[in-house]
Amino acid sequence: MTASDFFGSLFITFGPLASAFYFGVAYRAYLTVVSVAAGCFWLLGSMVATLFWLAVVPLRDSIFWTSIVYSASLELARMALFWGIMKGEKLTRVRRERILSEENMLIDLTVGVSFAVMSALATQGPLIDLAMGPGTIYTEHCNSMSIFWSASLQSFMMSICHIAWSFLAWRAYHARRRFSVALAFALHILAAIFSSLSALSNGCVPSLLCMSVLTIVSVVAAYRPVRKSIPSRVTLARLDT
Amino acid sequence: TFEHNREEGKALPLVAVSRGGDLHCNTLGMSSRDEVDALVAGSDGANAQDEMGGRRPTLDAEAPVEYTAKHVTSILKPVIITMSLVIWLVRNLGRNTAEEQSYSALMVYREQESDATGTRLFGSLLNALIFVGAIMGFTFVFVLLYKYRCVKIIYGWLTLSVLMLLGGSGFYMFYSLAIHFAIPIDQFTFFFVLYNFAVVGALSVFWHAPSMVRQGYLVAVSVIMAWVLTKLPEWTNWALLCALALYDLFAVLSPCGPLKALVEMSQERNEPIPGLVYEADAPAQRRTNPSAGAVLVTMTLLAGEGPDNGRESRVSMSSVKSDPSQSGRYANESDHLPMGATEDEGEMYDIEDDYEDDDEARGIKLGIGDFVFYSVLIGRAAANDITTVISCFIAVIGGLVGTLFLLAVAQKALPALPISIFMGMVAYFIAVFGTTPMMAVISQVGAAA
Repeated sequence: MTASDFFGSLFITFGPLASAFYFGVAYRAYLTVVSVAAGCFWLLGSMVATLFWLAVVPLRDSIFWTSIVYSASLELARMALFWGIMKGEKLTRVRRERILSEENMLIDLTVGVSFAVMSALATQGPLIDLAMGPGTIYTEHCNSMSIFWSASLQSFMMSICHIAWSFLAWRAYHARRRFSVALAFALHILAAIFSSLSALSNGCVPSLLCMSVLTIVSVVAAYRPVRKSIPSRVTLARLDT
Repeated sequence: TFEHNREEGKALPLVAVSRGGDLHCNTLGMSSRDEVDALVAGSDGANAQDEMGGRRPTLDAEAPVEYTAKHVTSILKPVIITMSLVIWLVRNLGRNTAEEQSYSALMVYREQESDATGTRLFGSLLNALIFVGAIMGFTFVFVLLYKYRCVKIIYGWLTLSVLMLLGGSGFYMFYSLAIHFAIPIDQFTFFFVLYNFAVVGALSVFWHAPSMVRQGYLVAVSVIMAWVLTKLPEWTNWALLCALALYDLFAVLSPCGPLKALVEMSQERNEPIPGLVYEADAPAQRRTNPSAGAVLVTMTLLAGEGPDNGRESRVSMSSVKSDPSQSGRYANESDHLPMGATEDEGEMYDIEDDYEDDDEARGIKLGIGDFVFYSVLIGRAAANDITTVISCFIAVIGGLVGTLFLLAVAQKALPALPISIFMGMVAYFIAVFGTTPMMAVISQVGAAA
């Protein structure tokens, strides 16, 4: 693998995430702490999925079911994180500041970025290790592009989806909208299925196309609740006067 | 709208535009309209204009939560740097195969690949108990020295330990790096640089030095010690981590714990706890709420207000392990040293006294032993694949943050090691036996999840 291929795929995977973290999260210390907490809950979801995967032996041979179980577990972890943050806010008696309140969408972004970073590291990490050695690896199912490129493009789109699902899910948790919660869940499962299409013969290109569509759908689905959460100009004008 | 919504505990939403122009929402509880006006007037001096040209109230809210979080992140940074360096060292200098293992003089059991599981388990537990026993013994000696004010002996002991660690184990590490990366260097230059590195390190830690140099050397001490400890046999390593986490619980929470006695003595004397501690830089923002200082805690720290209304920096203590020998033999000691001298002690001077006054908060402190054992766990994980490393990394950092959070809730001294070590170990074993093969199934076709 050439150096340009390596760095190119690395930047495609982690470049947007690094930017989102640096410009959106790192400038506030409490967001960094929240991102660590989100990482821990991601880890918890990953461990739950692992234990389930180990317990149910037939799962181990199916990439579809493995991805679905993993995605479902992450969504449950996201829900648990929301509950945990609310409880933590009450326990530490920071209600006066209400940093972790409904209006603070930076928390949504932080959770999304954190989940995206962890998922990217977990799925791309083993490949980065392989990339250090000589040669370029292609899979028999997808010989039109190297595994590094297809994986990096998949990770890139999945990262955007994680951020969008985070906004969608957290707005829904605050407003207790079950449909939106279910929608976030369903979109994540679908993404896992579409991503797993790479395992089919010549499946990497259809997988990437489906993931692209799903990414756009996820962003659109997240836009409405986010837009609703921003106070209107009328409210701002009243505050001003 | 403000008056109408003024209810007990209900927050008033405010939208603020920060100086950089990015929009973020924040919510504050206000008790009167005057506070809102005062806050707006006290902002950065301008009402921001939105894209439609209307005026919005601006807000410069440096809440206590943000200030506390800055303290937390100020201690997370060196921990992350230390663990990252240990990962890099372990992955470059060998993954601790059976041929590369080292042994300590304290170990009665020498692990062999051919040993049965039960033999390994029993032998490693025995090794761990001996290590912890030695640490306990040295800690009691240290407490006695501190009790009878034998400060010079403490200083000498710790200075010698750090010198031996930087010079002895440091030699071993730098020599291995030079061999691995084929660095062309002659012996005279190597030993000249090493000598200066060790001496300057000892002076920086215990005498005059800019804060960054001292912090750098403390990180170096932690990295070297952690790397050396990861070369112990695998089962002994894990048993040692478990045993130390349990010992930490006893030492801090038990009424007869040596560390608890040390803390109480230092409180009575109104002196900083002696020990090799890393002090992070305090955030620039002044603390607006003195009671928030109660949560600005370090490992095994004291909750509640100090004698000076909580502005006294919280101290940490931990045992640090030093290696006085060069041949891979180890002696575990509890090394403590008074970190900062008072004005009465002319021999030692903490340069940070220059920056201390009643109005400025001090940085959070963390014992070097905590750095070391977090890094030992991560170093163990680094001998496996990257998924294990990531899992353990997040688990340890999360445990550290969780410990600080629990401290804020419990408001009493808590040990630093148990939560992080427990979470790290659980993450390690699940990752090795489950997550890695599961991720391999997903990533082998280039999928993401």
